[in-house]
Amino acid sequence: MKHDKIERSATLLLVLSFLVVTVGGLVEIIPLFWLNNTIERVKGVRPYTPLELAGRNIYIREGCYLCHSQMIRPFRDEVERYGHYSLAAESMYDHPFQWGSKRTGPDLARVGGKYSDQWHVQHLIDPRAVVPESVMPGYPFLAKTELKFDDIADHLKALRIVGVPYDDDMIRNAKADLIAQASGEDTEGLIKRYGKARWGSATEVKARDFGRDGPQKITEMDALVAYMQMLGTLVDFKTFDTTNVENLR
Amino acid sequence: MSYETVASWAGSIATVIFALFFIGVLIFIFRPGSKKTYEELARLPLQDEDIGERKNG
Amino acid sequence: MSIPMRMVQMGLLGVFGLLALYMAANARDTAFAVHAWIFFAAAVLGLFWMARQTSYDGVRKQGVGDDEYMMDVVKAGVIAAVFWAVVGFAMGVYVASELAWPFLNWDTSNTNFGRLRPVHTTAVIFAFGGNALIATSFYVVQRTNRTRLAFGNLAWFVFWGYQLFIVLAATGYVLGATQGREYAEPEWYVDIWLAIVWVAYFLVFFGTIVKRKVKHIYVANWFYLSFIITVAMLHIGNNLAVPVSFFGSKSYSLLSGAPDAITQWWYGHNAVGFFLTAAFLGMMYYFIPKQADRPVYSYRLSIIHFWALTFIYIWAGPHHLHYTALPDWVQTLGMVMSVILWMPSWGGMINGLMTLSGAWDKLRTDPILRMLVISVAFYGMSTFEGPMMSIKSVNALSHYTDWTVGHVHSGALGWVGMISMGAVYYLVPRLWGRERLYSYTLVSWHFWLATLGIVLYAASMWVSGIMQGLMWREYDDQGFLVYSFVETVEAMHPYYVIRALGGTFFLVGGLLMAYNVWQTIRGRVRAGEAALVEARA
Repeated sequence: MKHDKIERSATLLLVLSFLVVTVGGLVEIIPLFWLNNTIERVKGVRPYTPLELAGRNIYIREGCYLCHSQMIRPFRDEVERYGHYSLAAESMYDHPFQWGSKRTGPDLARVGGKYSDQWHVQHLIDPRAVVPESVMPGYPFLAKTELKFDDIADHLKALRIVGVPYDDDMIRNAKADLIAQASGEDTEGLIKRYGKARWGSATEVKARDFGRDGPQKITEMDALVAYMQMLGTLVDFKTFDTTNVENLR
Repeated sequence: MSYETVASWAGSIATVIFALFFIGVLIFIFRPGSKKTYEELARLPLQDEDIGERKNG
Repeated sequence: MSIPMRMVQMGLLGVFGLLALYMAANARDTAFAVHAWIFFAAAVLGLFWMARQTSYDGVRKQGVGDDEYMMDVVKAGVIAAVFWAVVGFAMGVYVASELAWPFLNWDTSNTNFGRLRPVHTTAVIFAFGGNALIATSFYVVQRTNRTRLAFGNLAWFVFWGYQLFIVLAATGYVLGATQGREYAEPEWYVDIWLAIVWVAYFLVFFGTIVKRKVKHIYVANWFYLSFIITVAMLHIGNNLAVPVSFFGSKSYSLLSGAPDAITQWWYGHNAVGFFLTAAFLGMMYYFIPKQADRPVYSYRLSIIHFWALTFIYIWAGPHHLHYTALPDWVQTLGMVMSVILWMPSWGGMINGLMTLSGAWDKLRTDPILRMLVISVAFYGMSTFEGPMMSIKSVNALSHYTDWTVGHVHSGALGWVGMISMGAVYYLVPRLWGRERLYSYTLVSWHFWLATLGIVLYAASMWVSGIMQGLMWREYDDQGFLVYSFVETVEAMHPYYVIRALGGTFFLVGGLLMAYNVWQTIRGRVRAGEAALVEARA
């Protein structure tokens, strides 16, 4: 009998259970590739500059996503507390995404520009010196550790393979752009490649000494602060077309 | 085919596939005369399991 | 194993070792260098082991035939599970204490919460849970199919390869190598290694079923098998990435943003569904009937609930992404499927609990059975809570708060932890040929400490989670938010202390288990207990 066969054949059991567990994933995930390819980009979103990218990698390395989300939900209290709710397009160059799942600390999707560089540096070195009730670990070693960026161009190349639009010019100048942004000197090329004029972002690429430790030494702190200071600042919500929001979320 | 079409279809297809599949399983489980078979099968781990374990306990 | 065949194996391992050495020499970062050296050490140890195993006169060293179960690897798995349980629980208590008393982060790169938290989750889920599953699945598949494990020593490769994966993962986190994906943190080369080990695991398990000596495949094996194949699929699907260099640990995920998020939670939720649920249901379907000495309540129900569970679980992932930038229809579909999931989950619970119908008195006298049964009760509780939290309006409150953490732990400590520990207590005397456990009193103590620990944990996280969720959205009469974020953090402190205390109770229970297991293996019986009437013959 057919039914007994299903019960008694190991191979059938294998094939059937595999089919059963694939259906859900296919139906839910495959259409999203459609979404990514067909929906128009939101003006202003650009790839990370080399320094921001290095900072983002430190954010990932230290496991910040375990306590901080980067995803503002469309609720009144969240929008008032953190800013405009997050759009899918804003994380389109995030490999991997860092939406997070827990807010032991506040959401960081739009933390960029809310505090000064100095505040961030002090806060990262000793959180309780700035916010006495905080339970965040201190990261004083970031300010002491020199940023390793010899291979930053390789990072851009790897990201180009997965679809981030870094062009040859960006890859060739990755190291120079990183130094320019962390020192605030010779920033012309950096601005040309990542600036407002090219991508239509709401804010210009910020180039300065983020870590307050002199332009000679670029630390991991500079990179992390540069990353945090640009989070959520790219899309101009004054001009953003809200009538088209539904299909962007 | 637009994204909206794909999206709206996905949910319905899911429901139909699941309903059909589940009904199939139910029919198969409650086929006549299977009660006794299943009662025997449930005893499988309780029957003697030895194949001659000598030292491995 | 013939000598030429063994030579080929040793040659391959030698090449692997040399490759590891080459990787170590060219490593671009510390984590990668350390890992290359660990690979090298593993290859050297493997070569030594092979050289000792080979009998050069062409005669097999041991006459191990198909008429004998392979139980040594199960023993190793049980010991590893107990060891990693204690490590994982201790790490949990530590990271919980970091949240209660932040000075414990010591503000160094290796000890902060962000780096240690994945060590805790990996140690409990993959090291403790994974070893318990490998050990019990190898035990159950042999005994219910009445045949020895397939493919000879491949089972040992699975065991040691898996321990290597755990060591690579944990050292990687501490040294800062992480993909930044929850519960899938290990970097690309560790993922490749796990994929190889997992294929071997599949071959051993499936091969054993294929050469079974009974007609029917007992349902426990169905659950284990679906766990093995689904985890393989999820692991590969979620870890697609492009490494920056073949000599460095850093990689970038293939997907980004919303598609990456849904892929991650398709993985993350089904790691819960298949690793922490389906596989442990396999455990339940063997060890509860055995310990209670009664067949499972309804075999029909077990089949229905198997197919319904495997089908529906996969769809539920999007409930981790409610109100995010994921399309609405995916969220709603995920929610509906999560609520439906309640039914097959409770099907399993009913089947487990009702197995005891007519024999409830055994719960009074048998502490091991008590442990197995309360695990099913916790399973029922958390699979009711889960669908509830997947309802969008509930999720709006619970998401991002400690409620989620509490939910996970009532499942992980209550269900996964208790059933594994019950299985360990069942297995140890049988595997080592002892008449009984060293002490049933200690099992009772373990049971009560663990239960009290879970209650403290879950209750404090309910309160802190719901309270924080409400505080975040509280407005005053003028329409202003009442609390700043840090005020809600401050309010969490007492609950974080209670949580750490609950975790400590659970850890002490785990230590009692380790002691009890150790004494049982040594063949001892606790003074005064030998005279007591045995709970079970």
